[in-house]
Amino acid sequence: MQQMIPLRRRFTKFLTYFAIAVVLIWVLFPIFWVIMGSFKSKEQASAIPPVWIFNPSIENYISAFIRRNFGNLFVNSLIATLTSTAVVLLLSSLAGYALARFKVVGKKNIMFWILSVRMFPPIATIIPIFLLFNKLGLIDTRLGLMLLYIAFNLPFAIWIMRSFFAEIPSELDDAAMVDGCSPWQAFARIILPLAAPGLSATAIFCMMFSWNEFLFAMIISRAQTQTLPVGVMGFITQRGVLWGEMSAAATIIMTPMIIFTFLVQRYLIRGLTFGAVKG
Amino acid sequence: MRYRLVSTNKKLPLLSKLSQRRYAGYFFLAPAFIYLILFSIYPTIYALSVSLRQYILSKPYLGKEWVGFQNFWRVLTDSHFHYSLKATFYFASASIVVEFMLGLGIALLLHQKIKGIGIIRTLVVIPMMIAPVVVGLSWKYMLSFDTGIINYFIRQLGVQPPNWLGRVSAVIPALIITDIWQWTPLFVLLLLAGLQSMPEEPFEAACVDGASRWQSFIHLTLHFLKPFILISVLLRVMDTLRTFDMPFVMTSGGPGRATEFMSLYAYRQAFSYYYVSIGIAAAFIILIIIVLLANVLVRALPVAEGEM
Repeated sequence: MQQMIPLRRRFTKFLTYFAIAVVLIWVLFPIFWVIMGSFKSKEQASAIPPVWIFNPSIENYISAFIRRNFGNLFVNSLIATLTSTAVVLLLSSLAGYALARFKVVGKKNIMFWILSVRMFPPIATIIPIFLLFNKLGLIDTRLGLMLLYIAFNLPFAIWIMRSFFAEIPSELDDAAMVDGCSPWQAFARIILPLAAPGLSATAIFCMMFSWNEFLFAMIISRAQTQTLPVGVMGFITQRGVLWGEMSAAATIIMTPMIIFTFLVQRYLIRGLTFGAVKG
Repeated sequence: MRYRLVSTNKKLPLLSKLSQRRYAGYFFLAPAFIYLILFSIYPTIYALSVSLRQYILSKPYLGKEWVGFQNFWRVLTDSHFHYSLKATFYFASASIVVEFMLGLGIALLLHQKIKGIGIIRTLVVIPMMIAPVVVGLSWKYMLSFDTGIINYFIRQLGVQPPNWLGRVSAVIPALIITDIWQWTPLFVLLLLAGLQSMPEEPFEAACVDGASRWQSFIHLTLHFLKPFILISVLLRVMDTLRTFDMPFVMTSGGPGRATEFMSLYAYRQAFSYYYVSIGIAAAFIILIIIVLLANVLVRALPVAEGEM
């Protein structure tokens, strides 16, 4: 009987590790399989039985970049992502600060309105925007895509920046203003530097949303300004899917996001819940 | 609010400083506010006006005749839209139920003190950070009927695998499987945060009172998790009802119209058939459905509004 207890405990411990291993395999296998597929030859990528051991080649990457112009798409994605993120950071830190600190008439309504903008189904936003951009000549321009991504990320960024500013004690701004700073100076010199972790988390989330965005880019961009997620669709052809090249493209798109996951994991929950839940 | 009337400043007279503080908020808020008005209210009003007219992109010579609520009526009486509504709800409810149960299980599993648990928790979250387009294509790769790895494993078990993306009866489950892979992590993440925020005393008290582990799970754990469960369900309801990217790349609505979810219906009306006003009417109907459902869930949320 006395020997039974440690045995049972060891068994539950084994079960726990086993269950965690199963979960990890389930989560990571698809990613692993696609990355592995990207280094296979065309025949190996869709071979049955599946090929596990092979000579890796970067043929698919070369083909994606040279034949499908992925370099260009990469630049398009990068520009849309970085420019929109920069503008969003500027506007959202100002607005987030205002909502965290100052008396604004109808603050609550403004905040819910901002949130509701994000609740819109993207398809409801994009149809009228498409018609407007058509009139304004913004279809297939980088500017159009950037403007759209700013609008898309701004509500989320304002909410999350507000939650970061709310954590900084307001005595600091008081002290700065007592010392003769204008509200603007107090914000720019004292508070904004303190909110640096918030800014970087917000930036990463904005980059993530813009980088991964598909529907807007598909409708607004044509050949000139196509982004990576739209371009990857090009591997679905009439004669079937080019799995090897598709996997290479998928790997290119997801690698930066996997790195970001590790960078923002502390703020993930706050980001997902618009700052409502702090992790 | 938080500002007291202190001014030891000699440079600025008290009055101008007060007014500076009173209006500063508006100046800080203005750029974002104006931007959002331009990009949300204006398009919304424009969309409303288009939805009440007949606007066919491919036939501009028809003009934009005022037709009132006819477009909404056409959507609401369209049997394809009825199907799309049903398919969307089937997809959404099945995905969310499984994601919640799996997510709760995994969250409980990872709520333990084990070496390296931090890295494991981060690894589990990765799927939801990947572009839905990429997730869709990856699963399309794995679910492919004759060359996919999943069907290879099923055949190894001696079972005839389904043609996942090619058969009407199997295609929605295939999309659900994909959605579960991508979004179970959201439940894991939020429920884990809930588990970590639980106080210990009630559990000790329950233990002293002789409650079984199952009883304290039902009465205490689930009770404390309730707001976290509601928030994650709310987020998922909003997202699944408007899903577009993943089904679009996996099936583009097919086979036939089997996976033409509501967003895809609106998209096709507007950009495949060029019935822009019908597409917009459908998009508004989706919005109303989401807002109504979200409202029900938000009302159930015990979140303290005093926080704002």
